[in-house]
Amino acid sequence: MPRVTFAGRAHEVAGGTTVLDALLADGVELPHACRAGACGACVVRVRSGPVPPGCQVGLPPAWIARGCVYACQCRPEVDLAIEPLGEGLRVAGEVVSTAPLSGSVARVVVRVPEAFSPARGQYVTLERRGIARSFSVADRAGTALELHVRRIPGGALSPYLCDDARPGDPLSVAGPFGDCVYGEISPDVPLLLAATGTGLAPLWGIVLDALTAGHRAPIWLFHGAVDPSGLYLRAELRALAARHANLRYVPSALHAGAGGDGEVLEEGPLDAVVLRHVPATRGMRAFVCGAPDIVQVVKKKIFLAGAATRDISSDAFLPAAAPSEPTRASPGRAG
Amino acid sequence: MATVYDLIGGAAAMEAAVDAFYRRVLSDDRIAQFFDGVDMERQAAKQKAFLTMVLGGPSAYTGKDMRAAHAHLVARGLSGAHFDAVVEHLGATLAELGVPAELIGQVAATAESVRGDVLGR
Repeated sequence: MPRVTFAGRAHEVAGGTTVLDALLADGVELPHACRAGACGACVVRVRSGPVPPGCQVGLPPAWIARGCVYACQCRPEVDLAIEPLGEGLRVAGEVVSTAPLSGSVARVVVRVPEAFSPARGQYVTLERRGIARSFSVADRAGTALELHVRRIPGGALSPYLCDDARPGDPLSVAGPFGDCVYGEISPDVPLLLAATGTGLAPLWGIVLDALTAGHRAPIWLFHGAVDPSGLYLRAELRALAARHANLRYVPSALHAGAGGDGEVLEEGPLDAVVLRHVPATRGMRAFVCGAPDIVQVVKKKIFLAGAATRDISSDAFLPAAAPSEPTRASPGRAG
Repeated sequence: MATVYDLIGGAAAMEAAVDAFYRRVLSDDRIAQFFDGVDMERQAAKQKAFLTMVLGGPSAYTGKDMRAAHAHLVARGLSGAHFDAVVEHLGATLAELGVPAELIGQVAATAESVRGDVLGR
């Protein structure tokens, strides 16, 4: 049976078992959340031994070059030595502020060292007391990262971030991950952005970057929720759309009714709302973020309406998974 | 001898070909149900491997993969009629890309060779 050495101790890893499960079974408190090789909470570095196949998919190239792997995807066949992420990959950050954006979502600002510079739309992993969860960067002012955090009742980290975090509280920050970024898109390519819940965070970042870059083509921003209380930043987005003729902001809810501020919202599933406004997507660049099942459906509909697969990026906010009940645990990708 | 894969432009042309093929398959009510809940990127990667194989491009696809990959669909009722529908879309995609009918027939014959594996027979 292969053995994995971590922090000076050897742990046996039965065939097909992941390094994460083996370490947890031995009482090692390795941070983790989605268990699907996405959130980045459990990333460790292979110090010696061959990197098993398939456990680096989706990691940034610089991390792959340094031998980083997702512990939750790492199934070694021979002995390995692994270690926590070193300097530069995980940095010391601190809470600057936390303030409500809605009844369930808070804007949390975290200060990071200057060398740590995620793009708007990428995501980072915050860790406090051994609990790690990932959040998208909605905005960045110098070394201050703005994150949108949805409060998960009974959650391991989000109640603290939304309600109890105090300026100066230390947090460990890892990343950045993900490719939902504006990057080098031509200003004449129409953008189609669709989010549920705090999937708005990376799209807000992309909108800001697009407007800053002088994007000329239409920018469609769809934000869907189950009911109007799940939406946030509506006044800000309406104001932004009023200042930029090419920005079209469409909030919607599955069960709409009055939107709380008197505005009547569009009603229906997000994919239907998107197609109602944008029936043909050929030549568009699309970003879809939020709940995994909805992201999947919206991506498929956008593709069928003409967009190329390479032009559709997505970020599914996976739930934090417990080993025995993977679908029932509280969401870990709260924002 | 040049393969159909080379004829339509090789690796560089595969992305557009896969999109065209996959869009046809997903739009077909006879078979779309088998793709419900499937992750698009992973599915597109598989479609690309399949297209590369039947067009005669560099491929590591094996019958064993085909059999294992489709077993859960056979359990859900995947049948010869569904297989025929996919081959039909393959032909239409290639026709759209300007491949002559005679070569489309060759490709269809290659696709036919995996029928047993796909349907678990």
